Amino acid sequence: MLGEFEYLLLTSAIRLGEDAYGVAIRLDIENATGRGCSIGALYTTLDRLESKGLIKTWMGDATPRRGGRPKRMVRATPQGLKAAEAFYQTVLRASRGIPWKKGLARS
Amino acid sequence: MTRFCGFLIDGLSRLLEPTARDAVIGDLAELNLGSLRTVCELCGLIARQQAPLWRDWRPWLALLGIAGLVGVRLNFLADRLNFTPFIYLRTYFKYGTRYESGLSLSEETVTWLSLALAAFLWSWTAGFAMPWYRRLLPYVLLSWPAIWIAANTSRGSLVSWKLKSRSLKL
Repeated sequence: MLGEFEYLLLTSAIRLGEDAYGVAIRLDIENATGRGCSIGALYTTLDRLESKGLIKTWMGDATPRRGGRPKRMVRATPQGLKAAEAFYQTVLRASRGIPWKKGLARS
Repeated sequence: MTRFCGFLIDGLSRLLEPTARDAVIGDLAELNLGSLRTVCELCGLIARQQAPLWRDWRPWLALLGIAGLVGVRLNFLADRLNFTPFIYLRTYFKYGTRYESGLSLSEETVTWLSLALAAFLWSWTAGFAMPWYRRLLPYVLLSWPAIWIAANTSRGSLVSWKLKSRSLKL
């Protein structure tokens, strides 16, 4: 089972496709969640997902904007896609029957 | 970016894996977060990467067993190991005579060799107690300022103690 941040990172990598790399994923997660995403959290999670075989990373092109340094490109593997889908289905199942509106009205 | 921050970022980035370093620095350059934020982000990443190493037993053994328990004894051992040849050479070159420690030359040689062997064995143990790969380099690098501070503090207290005792004699 994935963690919340692992899921966010995986879905972001899937959504960005060929353009998925550190900065793009970070900005995508920040846009999706409205919360900040640190480089530390991003890179340690990337390492963890890669060790689990859920993503594949490699060094991409260098650009002048990055001071001539390469990008760490990310691609979700078929296992990663499956794990993200399983997490999503679990959240859907777990959330079934929750009276969201009532809960919000009480608080 | 100030020169100091540039130097700091460069130094900190060396604590990362060589393969990840370029990508991380490139990302930080692209994000253009400002010097202080870049340093904080980098420190956060290093802390997160180093933290899992403490799940292993070896750094704890090194910390508690070697640094904690036998650190003081090792300090005396290293001090004597360095001091013995120094005082012999200094006395010989300055006064042209052998330093009289109360021991015969053979006794002194055996003592010094025993100390050298003990230091060698402890170094060996410490080397194997701690994982020897480069991910523990930050601890080694960070220990230098700590050693420097400790040395200066103790030297300072020693000097003040000597001055105090001298003034008492006067």
